[in-house]
Amino acid sequence: MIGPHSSPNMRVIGILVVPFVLMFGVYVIAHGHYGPGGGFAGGVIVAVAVIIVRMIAPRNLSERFFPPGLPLWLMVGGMGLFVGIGVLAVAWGGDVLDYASLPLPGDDSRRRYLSILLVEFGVGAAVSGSMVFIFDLLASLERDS
Amino acid sequence: MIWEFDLLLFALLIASAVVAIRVRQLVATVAVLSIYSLLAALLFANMGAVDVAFVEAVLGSALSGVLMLIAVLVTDNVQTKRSRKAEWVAIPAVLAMVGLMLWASADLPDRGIPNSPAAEGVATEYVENSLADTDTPNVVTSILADYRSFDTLGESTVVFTAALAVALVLRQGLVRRRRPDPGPNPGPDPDTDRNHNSDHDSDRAAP
Amino acid sequence: MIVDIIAGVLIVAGVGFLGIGVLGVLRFPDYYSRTHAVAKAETLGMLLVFGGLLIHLRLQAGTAQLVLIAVFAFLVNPTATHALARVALRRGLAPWKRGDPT
Repeated sequence: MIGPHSSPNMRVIGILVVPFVLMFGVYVIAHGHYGPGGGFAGGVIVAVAVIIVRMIAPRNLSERFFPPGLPLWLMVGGMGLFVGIGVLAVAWGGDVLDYASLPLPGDDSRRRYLSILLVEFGVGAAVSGSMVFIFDLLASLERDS
Repeated sequence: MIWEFDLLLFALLIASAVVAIRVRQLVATVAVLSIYSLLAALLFANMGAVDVAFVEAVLGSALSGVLMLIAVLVTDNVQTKRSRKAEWVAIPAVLAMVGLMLWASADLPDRGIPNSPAAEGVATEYVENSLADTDTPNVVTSILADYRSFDTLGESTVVFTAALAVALVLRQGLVRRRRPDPGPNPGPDPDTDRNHNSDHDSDRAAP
Repeated sequence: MIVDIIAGVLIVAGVGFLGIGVLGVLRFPDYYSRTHAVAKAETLGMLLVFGGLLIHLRLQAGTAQLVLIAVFAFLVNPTATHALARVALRRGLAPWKRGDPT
């Protein structure tokens, strides 16, 4: 199922829709402060955009758009960002995941606000990486035809 | 919260669960399970848990359906006999569990009651201080990512570990499929194999 | 007042088209005609409902999102049903002809 879709309608509409899906995913991750959403939902939407590209675009294009090695790095990087923020808070003299002690600009609440944003992006990266990783492996199990 | 709407959603939810079990084809089961997740998301939204409903709609009814569909397509479709003996054990066990749950649920506080244990104590603290503490109007986000960020860290670790475990299992299958060893384990049934290939050929024919 | 009436008429018409789509899924004889019912009736019904909601809400912060949702539903819904019907045809599901058992 990885590769160009046989129907031109699917290819055109899919490529047309993908950038908006990606943008919506990032919007959902970043907008969790003000509305429903957050890292989990936004990460899944980003993964959906990548999966659409995988299913409709030629293999070399979709691998340039999202290299096959990237999901694992996203997973590790997202988890590393989350854990790193927690550990850095200890390094600057607070408790684990005590955002107020991080060296970010602003007063305590603004520092928490910014760290929540970073943590949401970490969760989003980890979730989208995991989903694309599983999709790539499942699709590579497809019998070669 | 409209209780008639709730009742309708619950009835549809149970009906779709039963249909998902009774339907004979795996592809149809996946479709019905997606409908089940969508109904669950509507129920969550009706209860006011918009964040949970969003995740359920996106993950449960969209992406997991896609992943399960691909899993159905790449695996062999082998029929197994239903075991009557297992039913004799399973049905009473399930009924006993359902009865136990219903009996226990009688003690739970009603939904939306202001003085239930879940709405008192530390919860009121979070709701009152969230905006001043974190500048975040959405209380759910500030609880998930700040007050209870340790739980969220655990959740992300669960997703991470689950993805790694799935990857290890799938890679095992990939290695076995690439190098079919002529050992004591016979490979996939040649009959089903041929069916699969012809299916895919007809699917991929150039336009 | 008149605006509300127009909005109500649009929404009721949209729900009517959605109902016709459901009726088509239940009554049409085979897979292709059913996807046809879903693609056409539901796309039009959804657009009418969204148009009615737009008129009902006037100009607000949320209306731009409503327009975007309508545009993407208009693009994606027919494409998805097109893909489904195409896969069925490729896999050799024969269309229904007059006289076949339903």
